[in-house]
Amino acid sequence: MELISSTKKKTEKKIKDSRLQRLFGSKYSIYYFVALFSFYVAGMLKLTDHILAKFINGYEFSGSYLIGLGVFFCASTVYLHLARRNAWLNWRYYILGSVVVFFPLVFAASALKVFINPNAEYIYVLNKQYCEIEESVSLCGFAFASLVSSMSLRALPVVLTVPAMFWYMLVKSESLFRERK
Amino acid sequence: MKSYHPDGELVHSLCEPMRKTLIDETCGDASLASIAYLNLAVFVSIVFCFLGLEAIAAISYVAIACAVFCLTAALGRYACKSMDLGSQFVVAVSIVVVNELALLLIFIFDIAADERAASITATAVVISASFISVHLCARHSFPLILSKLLVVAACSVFLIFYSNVVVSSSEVLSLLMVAFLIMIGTGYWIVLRRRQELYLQVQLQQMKAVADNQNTKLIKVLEEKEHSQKLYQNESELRQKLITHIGHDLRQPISAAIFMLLKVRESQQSDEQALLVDDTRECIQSAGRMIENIVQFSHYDNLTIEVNPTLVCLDDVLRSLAREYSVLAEKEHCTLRFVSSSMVINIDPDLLKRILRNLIVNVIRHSDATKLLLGVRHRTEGIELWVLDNGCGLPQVDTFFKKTVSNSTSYGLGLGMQISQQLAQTCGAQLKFYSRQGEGTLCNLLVPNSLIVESSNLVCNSHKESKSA
Repeated sequence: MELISSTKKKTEKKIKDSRLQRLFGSKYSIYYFVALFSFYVAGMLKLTDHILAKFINGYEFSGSYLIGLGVFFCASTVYLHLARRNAWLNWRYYILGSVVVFFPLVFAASALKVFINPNAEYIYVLNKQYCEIEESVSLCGFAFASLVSSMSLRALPVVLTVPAMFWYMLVKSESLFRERK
Repeated sequence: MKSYHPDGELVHSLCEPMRKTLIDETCGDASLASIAYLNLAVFVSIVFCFLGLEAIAAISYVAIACAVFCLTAALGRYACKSMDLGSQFVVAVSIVVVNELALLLIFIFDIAADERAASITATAVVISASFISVHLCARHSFPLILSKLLVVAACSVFLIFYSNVVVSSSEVLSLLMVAFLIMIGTGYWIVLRRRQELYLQVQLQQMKAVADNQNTKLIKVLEEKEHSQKLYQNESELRQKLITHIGHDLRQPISAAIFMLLKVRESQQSDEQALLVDDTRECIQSAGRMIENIVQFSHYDNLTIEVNPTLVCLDDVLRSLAREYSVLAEKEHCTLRFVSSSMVINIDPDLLKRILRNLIVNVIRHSDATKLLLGVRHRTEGIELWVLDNGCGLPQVDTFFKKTVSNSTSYGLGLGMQISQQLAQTCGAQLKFYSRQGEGTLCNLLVPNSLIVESSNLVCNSHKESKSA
């Protein structure tokens, strides 16, 4: 009986693997992956926000995750396309690459959030809290730097886990580079 | 510029491949350098924001710096591909200098901004960022010095003329000079290390090229050898076929001659005639055996002649040979004598006779000798079988064999002597020649002690004959 059950499990696993490979080994595998991980990123950001709010006095949520997720989606897609094009099989490309790209991206996301889609109330709170300015249309420098720093801090778990997952699931499972091979 | 290779020897100048590799590296790594500079720019802008710079200035700075870094990355990636070495060097220098200048743009944004950062700390931050970027531009000493000089000059101008706090010019200059020296020192150390590495890489490449060249030559030689081996093999096969056919054709008349001699022997004859018929039969049998051996030799394509050592009475052998060749010797006006011996040796009699026959025939036919002596001498290392003549002698024993094979002379082809030497080695004996031109030749067959039988029950035919007489 044990033998039968183990064989059954193995068959099920094989079927699952082949489905996974069909899903992620296709032409649009990168988009599937990034879309899937966008949910993971949103969840991680929310979780980090909760944890930081619990442990840091005065910590407030920065608002919606839409811009951050958009930047993540674009950057990840471009990066994985580059990875596929240049056949980056080494994990260093993913870990170090993400760290190198992440910092300017957080900066860009913060800048977009504050200057492309400004929320007057949000800017007022930040200006008052960090620069003690009550009447200003734009964000003061110190507040902006604090915003970037806090965004970097809350994105850190994502930055440390997502590239490792990308590498393990895409490169280790060889689905990303199947076409090249 | 001078640098040291790992053994401590001075590498006086950059060789062409090293220079090319360095420039290729600078151009090839332009994208990575741009990303690194972008991170530095973001870091600097955030610190400037913390120091009081307004956000819009910091973001504008990062945006423009990002555009410049993209430009240098594109320049390194595409422009360097289609340029000669000199232009590539200029581009490599430009990339480094422009990246560094882009980092320094923060000063302009700071000066232009309404809310400015604290100047001294801001300058320290820029110097730190520039120090971090040393490894990005430390491939050539010239762009390194130029870029760091620009950084120090920009910082000096910023602090002296545009600072929002009062600073002493001499203090600023001295501090910046120290920073410059530290940066240059560190950069130069990195340049030297990189050159050492590059030197080894170039050496390795050169050695690989030499090895590849040698391998190509070796492969060519091996191919030629293989080709010649094939040719030789074909020739051998052809020769073997020829010898086999000749052997087959000769076997039949030899067998017929032996059969007829047997018939003659059976008829009534005098003793002398019977002895002559026996000797003739033995000669023909020996010729048959020789043909068999030659066919066998050609078949195996080496000297795998079957050796059947038996106890041989030397007296019988010498007597038989003397009898065999006395007629021929007489014809050639040569007196053949032999000294009898009671020695018994363990040797193949056919091979021994073949060796001695070759030597005797050579002497009779080619040496113009009037006297020929067959004898045996005892030595500490064994016994020597002598074939001594008073003929014309050999010109030079060492070169005789080589010359005679290629150039037929009155001494014949010399093949008989060569074959004798090979056969002697096969038997375990050693054949040597001592000759003086015009005086004669001594052919000396040394039979070692291991082949000599001290006491045996073998009774020589000659002894039987003498007893019966």
